[in-house]
Amino acid sequence: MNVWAQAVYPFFRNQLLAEGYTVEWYPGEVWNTNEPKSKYDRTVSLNREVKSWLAKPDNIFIDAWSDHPEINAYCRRTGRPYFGATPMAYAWENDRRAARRLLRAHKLPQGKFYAVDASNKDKIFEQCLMDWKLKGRLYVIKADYEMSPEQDYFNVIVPETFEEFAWAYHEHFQYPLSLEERFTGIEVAFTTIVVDDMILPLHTNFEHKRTHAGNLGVNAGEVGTLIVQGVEPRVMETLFVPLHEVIKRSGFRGYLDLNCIYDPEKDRLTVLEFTPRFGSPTHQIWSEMVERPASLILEWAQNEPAIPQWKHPVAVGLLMVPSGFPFAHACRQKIPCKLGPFQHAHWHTMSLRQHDSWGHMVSGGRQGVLAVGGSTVEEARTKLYEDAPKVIFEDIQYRTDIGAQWSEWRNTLLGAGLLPIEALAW
Amino acid sequence: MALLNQPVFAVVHGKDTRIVDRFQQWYGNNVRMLGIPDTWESGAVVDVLVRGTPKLAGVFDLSLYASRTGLFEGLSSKIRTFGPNMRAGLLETVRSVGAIVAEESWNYHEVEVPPSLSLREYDPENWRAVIARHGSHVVVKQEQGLAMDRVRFAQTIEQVQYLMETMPYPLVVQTWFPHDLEIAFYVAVVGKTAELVPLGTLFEHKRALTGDLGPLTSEMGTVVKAGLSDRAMMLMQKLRPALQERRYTGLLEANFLYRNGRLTFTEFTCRQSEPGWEILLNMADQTNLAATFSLWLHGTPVGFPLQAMPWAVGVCIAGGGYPRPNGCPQNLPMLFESVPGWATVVPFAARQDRENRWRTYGGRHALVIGYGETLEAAHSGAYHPQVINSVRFFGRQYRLDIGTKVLHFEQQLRSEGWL
Repeated sequence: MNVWAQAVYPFFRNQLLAEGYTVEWYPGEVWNTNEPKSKYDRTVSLNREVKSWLAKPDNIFIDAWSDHPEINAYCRRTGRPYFGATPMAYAWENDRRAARRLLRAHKLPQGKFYAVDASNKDKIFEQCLMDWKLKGRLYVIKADYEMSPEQDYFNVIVPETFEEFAWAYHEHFQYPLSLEERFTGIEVAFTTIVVDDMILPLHTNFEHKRTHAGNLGVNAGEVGTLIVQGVEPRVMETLFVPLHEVIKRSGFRGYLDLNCIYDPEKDRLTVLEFTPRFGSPTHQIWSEMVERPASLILEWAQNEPAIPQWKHPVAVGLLMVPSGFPFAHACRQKIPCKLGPFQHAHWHTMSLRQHDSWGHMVSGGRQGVLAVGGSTVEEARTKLYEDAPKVIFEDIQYRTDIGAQWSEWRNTLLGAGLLPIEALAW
Repeated sequence: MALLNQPVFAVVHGKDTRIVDRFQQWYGNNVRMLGIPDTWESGAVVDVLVRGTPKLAGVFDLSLYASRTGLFEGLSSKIRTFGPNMRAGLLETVRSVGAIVAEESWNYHEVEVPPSLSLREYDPENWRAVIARHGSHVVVKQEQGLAMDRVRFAQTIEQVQYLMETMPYPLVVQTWFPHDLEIAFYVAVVGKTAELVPLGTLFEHKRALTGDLGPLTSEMGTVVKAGLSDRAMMLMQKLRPALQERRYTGLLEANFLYRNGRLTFTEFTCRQSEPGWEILLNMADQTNLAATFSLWLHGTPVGFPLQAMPWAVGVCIAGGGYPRPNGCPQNLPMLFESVPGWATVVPFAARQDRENRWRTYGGRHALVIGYGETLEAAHSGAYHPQVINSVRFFGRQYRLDIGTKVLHFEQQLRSEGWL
C-alpha cells in the first residue's frame, strides 16, 4: 500500500515503513493553476496527476495535521480514503469566530468572547476595563492576522495584569483580534476519533504549553504532554454528542480534540478551542500507547471504526529544544548532539539533522520528542526522566515537571466526573 | 564623617546604572558624577578629562566595580583608586594567569587546581590529549574575555572535538563536574598591603534552567551567607602575597566547585559579581555603606556593615529566552508589587519610560531577594508567592531550585568549617 503522508515529521514515515507500507511524498504540482490564496479558496482545483494518483486503489492520502483540507474534501466527494479535516472542520480551529458560533449554537460551555477590529476597538476596551474593575475578568488576546516570524510566539498574549492587557491591546497588536475570557484551573483536552459518522473516545491529555518548569516562560504550543487512555462517558455526552450532527455534516474524518479548562473552585468546565488534527508531540506520545499505530490510522482513513489495542494506559513525552526556544533566531544551531542508548523511552526526531562528520546536529527549535508508555504515570515519568539526560547537546532545554501534578489533577477531575474511574489505578 | 564629603567617581559597566544611582543616593550632592562611555578603554582619557576640568583636579577618586581594568592605566598617581588595575585584573581576564596564582597560593591538599590545557592552535592531537587528561566532561573557554559565548561546555568526545575545531584560539580546557556545588569566597582587597575584608560566601547557580540544564549564564540566582568562616578566610589570606605583588585593590571572588569534601578551583572574579554583589549590598546597613566605601578608597580595611540576617537567597527573573541573544524581548511592560518585609525586589535590567512605567530592558529583568536567620527561611522567603510573583511581565521565567543543592550540602559544609 502506498501512503502519501502529508506534512508529518519523519517519525510517522518511519512508523509506516516499520509496519510494512510504502511512503511517498507526492513530487509534482498539487494545484491546477496557482496556489490557493487561503485554505478556503475554492477557485483552484487539484491537477490531473494528483487526481490520478489518488485514484489508484493502493494509494492513500493521510493528512494527519490537516494541512490540506481541499484534498480531503476532494477525496470525500469521490469516495477515496482520507484522514484529516475538510474545509469546514478546518475552520473550527483556524477561524475563531466560526468556532465560537459553533459552540454557541450547540450550547457548549464557553467563556466570554469579543471580536475586535479597528471600528469597535475603543468600545470593547472600555467594556474590558469594566469587566476587570467589576468582575476581575481578564482576556487572552489572539491575533487574527498573520504576524511577522519574529513576533510569531507573541501572537497569543495571556496577560496576568490589566496593565499587560492594555499594553498588548494598544501597543503590541494590530487588528483584527479575538479576546477570549481568561480562566484559571486544570487544562485538559479530550480526544476522539471521528470515523464512519461515529465519534470514538480515544484519550484524555494534559498539554504543558509553557516553555519552562513551573509553568513559566512563554506559551510555545506544547513542550510536553501526559496522556491517559479513554474519555469519561459523561464528557462524551456533554461535549461531543451535541456536536455529532455538525461533525457528520462536515465530512470530517480524523482526530478531534477539544481543549478545555476545569475550574475546581467554581466546578466549571469550559471549552477553549478545537483541534481537528494530531498535535505534536501528542501524536508521537500517543503512538507509544497502542499497537501498530500507523495501521490503525490507515484503517480509520478507509472509514473503518477500528478499536486501538492498548499497550499502555499512560504515556508521557518531552520536547527537547535548545535554549532560547521558541524565539526566532535565538536558538544556537549546528551543534553536535548525542542520542541514547535509551533504556525505556523512544526518540522521535523532528528538526535534528544528520551530519557527515558530527553525527546528529541541532537545527532549528524542536529537535525531537522523547516518549515512553507505562502502567502508571509515576512509572512512566521515572522512565522518562531516567532517559532524558541521555539526549546530550549543549544548551539543552526541557521541562523537568511533565505530569508532576498528576495526582492532584486526577483527584480533582475524578471528583468532578471528568476522568474514567480506571484512572484511580494510574 | 568628613570622608563622606570626598567626591567619588563611579565607573559604570555597560548599561548598568545601579552603581551610579547608589552613589548618588549615598553621597547626595557631594559627589560629582561623570559617565564614561563604553568605548573608553584607557584611563589616560579619564586623566585628561580630570586635568581639563579644574573643579575636579585634586578632589577626584575612582571607584571601579566593573571589569574595565584598562581605565586605571595612565591615571595620575594623585587619583585614589579602588578596583583592580590592568595587571591585577589578569587574574580573571586571562584564565591561565588565574590558574597559576591559584596553584602558587594553595597547596594540593587544600584546593585542587585542575590541570588546564592551554591550546594555541588546533591540532588533532590536542583534543585527544584533552580527552586523555580530562575525560569528555570539559569546559572550553577562550583564553581571554568574559562574554557568554566564550565559555562553552561539552559532554561527549564529538562535542569536545567540535568545540576545538570551531572556537577561536587560544583556548583553555578545564574539567567540568556538572553536578557539583558551586561555592565562592568573596572579599574586598583594601590598601597597599592587600588587607582582606570578608564579604560573603556565595553559592552561584550558573546554569540557566531548573535542574542545572541550559547554557552557562553569569548567574541565575545566588545564595549568600554573610561573612566568611575562619577556614575560608585562612584560605583567602594565602592569596595576599600574590595580590600585594600585583597592587590589587577592589573586590575579589574566588570560585570553586565543592565535591566529596574537596574544593576544586575554577576561576577568579575581579569585580562586582552579579547578582551576588547586589544581594550583599541589600544585606548591608545602608547608612554606613558610603563611609565604608570611602574608607576602603583611602586604604582603611573596615569591615563590611552587614546587618543581622545572615542568609539571603536571590532569584533572577529573566525573559523567556534568556540567555540567548534575541531571546528576551525589550520594552515589555513590567509590574512591581510591594513585597513583605522579609524580602526585597530589585529592578535589574529594567528601566522606566517617560511616563515612569517600568519596561523590560535585557535579560535578567529583576532580582528577588529573601532574607532569613537560616537558609530554609531565606529560601522560603524568596519563593513565597507574594515575593516571587511580585514581578510580572510576559514570558517571565526563573529557576525553581535556587538554594536546594546548598540545603543538601549545608550540614556537611558546616562540619568541615566552610560555613
